[in-house]
Amino acid sequence: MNRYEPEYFKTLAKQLRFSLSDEEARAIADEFGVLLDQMDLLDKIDTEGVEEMVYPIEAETSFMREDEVGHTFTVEQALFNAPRQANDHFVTVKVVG
Amino acid sequence: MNYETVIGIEIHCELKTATKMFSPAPVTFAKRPNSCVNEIDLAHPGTLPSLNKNAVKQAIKACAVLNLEIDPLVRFDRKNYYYPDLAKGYQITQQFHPIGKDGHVSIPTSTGEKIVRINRLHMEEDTAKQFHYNTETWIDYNRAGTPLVEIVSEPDMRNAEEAVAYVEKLRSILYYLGVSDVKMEEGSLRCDINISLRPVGSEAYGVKTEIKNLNSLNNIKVAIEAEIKRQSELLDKGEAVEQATRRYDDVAKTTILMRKKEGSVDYKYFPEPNIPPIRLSKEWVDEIIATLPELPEARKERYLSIGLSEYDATVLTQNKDLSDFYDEILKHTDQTKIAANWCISELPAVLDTQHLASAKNKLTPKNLADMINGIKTGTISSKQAKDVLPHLIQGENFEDVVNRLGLKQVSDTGELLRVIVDTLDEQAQSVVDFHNGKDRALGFLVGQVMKKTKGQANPALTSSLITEELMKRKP
Repeated sequence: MNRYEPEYFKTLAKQLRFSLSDEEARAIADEFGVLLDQMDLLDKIDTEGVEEMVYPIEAETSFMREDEVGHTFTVEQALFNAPRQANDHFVTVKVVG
Repeated sequence: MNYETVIGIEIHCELKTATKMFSPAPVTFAKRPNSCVNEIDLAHPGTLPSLNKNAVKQAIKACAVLNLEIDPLVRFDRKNYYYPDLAKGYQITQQFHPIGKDGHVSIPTSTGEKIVRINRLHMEEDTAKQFHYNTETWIDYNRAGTPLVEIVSEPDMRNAEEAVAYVEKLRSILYYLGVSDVKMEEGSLRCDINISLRPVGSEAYGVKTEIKNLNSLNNIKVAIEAEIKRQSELLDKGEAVEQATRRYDDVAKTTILMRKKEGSVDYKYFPEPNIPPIRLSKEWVDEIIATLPELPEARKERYLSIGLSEYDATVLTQNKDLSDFYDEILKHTDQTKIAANWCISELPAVLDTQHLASAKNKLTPKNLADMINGIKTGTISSKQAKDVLPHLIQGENFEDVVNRLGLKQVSDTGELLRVIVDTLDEQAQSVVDFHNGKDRALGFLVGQVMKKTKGQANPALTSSLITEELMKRKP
């Protein structure tokens, strides 16, 4: 028995603006169930007094990118996924009062 | 009641870099909307930010001159909010570990220099430009991700003049450092002013308001003055000042409420997991600090030391482009004062002196220096130089212009003397007049020589040679 039903993932997908078939939603629900079981295992470990980690690697790094221009999208590519667009702009519902 | 004004200023300053803070897309202004973005700027799944080394360098330069303590371990945090001006749904900033903290800067005031403490300088990314219409918002992500530093002062300023002096000082320093274009009208330098009043003598701060979107030094001044008036009128009536964000309205000449602050927004800051902490090498930081460019104050001192007046030194230093140009001229001439005069008085009348470094300007420092040397050695007169200048601006070189226009002054004593002897022989009456004490006769004779030489005789030399010759002819 999954703690989250396939319907839950279909709702989430809809909020994120893509659709899932029944089959896909069921597969995700199953996988998520496995993940949650693993979390439960981790929860059983005593972490009293252990400092939390922010980064997966504790070591400091030194890499910084040189300031050289790389590729950009064409305007058409940039707007390709936008459901609404006008005059080369992304269009959303008004976001200020 | 008498109130004391307390002002703190936050400055957002876009850094002068070729590419964005975390992506290699170019930093541009006024280009086709959404033409300077890539998958990182648009937060496509699977993309990761990559820190721009030059942006960090620019931030270090600013930290150094503002006497900020530099944190050699660069760390970023996420500021989470649902607003489409950044596609990621958060801004990468430095909430917990700013690159610079606890600095100060000295500003000029009517009562002398004053120290303004600077709380912090941190790096972050700029947001997209939004256009709000009746029912829609249009978004152009070209600006999203542009490297920014935010510089936060302590509430150390006490009136509009000090606030303006502070912003002016920072602008000038950041421009000289090459850290930013500091164009307030284009938004590459933006100020938010926090302002509150308290009874004179009181230690506790009053309730503050924040004035946003001030796009000129003059607007800062008038907005602060209007807000002081508004707040003091409220307090005089026994009413409370409401903590809020306001904007200055040019037409109404007062500040207008934008939004009330009802508790602080929870941005759920947490360390940015996609950028591990980056250790700056001490050698690199030291080298950046050791090779900082000359700042305005040092430059002014240098000008005073080479004989310029206080006025000339100040005017030149206020315009970095012109002053850089002046320095280039000095590589080809030792005539510091004449060169300064030309830069301050003549060039602004004929050239855009704010953009002398641009490719459009064909006037080279070498050509102008040649002309100045020409004035000094008497090759041309100052008056002739004004006719020469437009040709130099067209890109011609000094020698060519002088030859082509036949402007060369005759400074050859032998040649001049021959003309003078001829002239005096012809104008015997004037010679007599001169010896009879009519000074005008000398001027007349100089004029005759100028006429014969088509204006090319060196006037000073001509005058002294004629006087010598007249003395020989004393009856």
